[in-house]
Amino acid sequence: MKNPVKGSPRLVWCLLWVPLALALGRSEAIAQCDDCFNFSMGSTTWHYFSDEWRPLPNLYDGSHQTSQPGSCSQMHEPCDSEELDLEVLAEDAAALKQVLEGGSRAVVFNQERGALQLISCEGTVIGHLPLNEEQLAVLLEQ
Amino acid sequence: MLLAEVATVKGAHVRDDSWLAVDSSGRMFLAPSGSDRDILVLAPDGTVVEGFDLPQPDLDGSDIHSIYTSPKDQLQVFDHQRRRFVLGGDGALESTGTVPDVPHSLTFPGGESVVLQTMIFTPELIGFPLHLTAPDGTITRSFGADPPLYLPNRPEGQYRVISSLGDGRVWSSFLNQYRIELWDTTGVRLKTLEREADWFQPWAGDGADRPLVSGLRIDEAGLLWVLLLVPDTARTRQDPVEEAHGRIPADAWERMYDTVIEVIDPSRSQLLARQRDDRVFTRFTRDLVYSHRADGGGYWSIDVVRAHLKFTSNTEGG
Repeated sequence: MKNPVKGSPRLVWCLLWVPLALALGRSEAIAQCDDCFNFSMGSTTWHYFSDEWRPLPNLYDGSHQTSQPGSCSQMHEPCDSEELDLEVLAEDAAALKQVLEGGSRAVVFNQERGALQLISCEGTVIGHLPLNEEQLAVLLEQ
Repeated sequence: MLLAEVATVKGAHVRDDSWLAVDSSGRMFLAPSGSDRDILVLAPDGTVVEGFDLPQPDLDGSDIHSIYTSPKDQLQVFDHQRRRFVLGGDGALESTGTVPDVPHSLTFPGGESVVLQTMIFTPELIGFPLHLTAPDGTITRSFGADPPLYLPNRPEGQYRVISSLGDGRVWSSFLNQYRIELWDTTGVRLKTLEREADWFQPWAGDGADRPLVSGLRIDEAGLLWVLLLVPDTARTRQDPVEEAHGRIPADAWERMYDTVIEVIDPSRSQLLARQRDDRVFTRFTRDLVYSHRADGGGYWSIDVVRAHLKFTSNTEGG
């Protein structure tokens, strides 16, 4: 089977980084940046999505790989969303659940449209894949 | 014969990406594109009659993107700031508005609305290629794909060229497959025509050396006219030299492609006529098509050609 995430080691690194960052207290520094796309406050990560801030339980964001704590510019660095293949991801229920439950901001499930959507690092929707009944059933039973 | 020469537009005002639109009297409008916001009015023979400027000429990035003439002979001008200017035939400004994005193709389905072919990257509208748009730029319905799909690694599948007779229905052709659909503006697909041809297999990914549908027109008789760019096999192909922003200059297109124009009767799914031309025609404006040509020395000209069916009569007996 094709790997749904090109450059998957980067994904693993991102998933690991966030809890590490929170544990090390970097989140407070990031929260001071008004124009950051994502920031963390306390134990909650917030993501700016469709003109509103939404809390996310976790965060998958390649931008966090940079190591300049407290710098806003780092938040706009390239992330992994452009390396994801929605079609491949949709066929791999386990990988899809992992990405969605991990609080990914690169992929969201748009329940109203019954589709997976790919979100760019800047927050724009750059992909839309309608799911078939079987794929929908897997997601909706969560 | 399908193609008849109408005019050659020449002069320093002609550039390789100039847009042309014709009104019902045969008068043409030329938008030089580039950094200008002026529009030239041309007589049917291609000579410049007059010109006028769009308002607010000094805004950055506000040069003209495209121009279209409406069935009422209004001129619809889009600039790169996503603004639409509706002008009377005399150049007088009638209204302005902002659209969600500049159109790749546009048609007039009837009433005051237009249908824009563009991609809109919001959670609600991504994947729909066609957007019924009110005069103020508000989208009232998005449609044209069932199911709607947008894959960033296959953007060629999202493009359409569209045409309407103003009857609330829109003909829409894919770019990377010879598949033409008829939609009504409530979002219902009414018909699908799929032309099976060895020389036009659906493709995805790298479009080099692949055919593509570049223009579509439904005429008053209900016939579909399809412009197709096909690889130019008669010449030595040269890779295009991309300019800034990935734009490929017109002379490179000219080396890469010929144009095939086909006429289809959609009511019978029948091909009525076909002609090949070694120039590159990329859009219809009413029954005209046009092609940019490098004249040397940095100058360009535009060949304007009428696409029409020529019938021969062979009546015998009573």
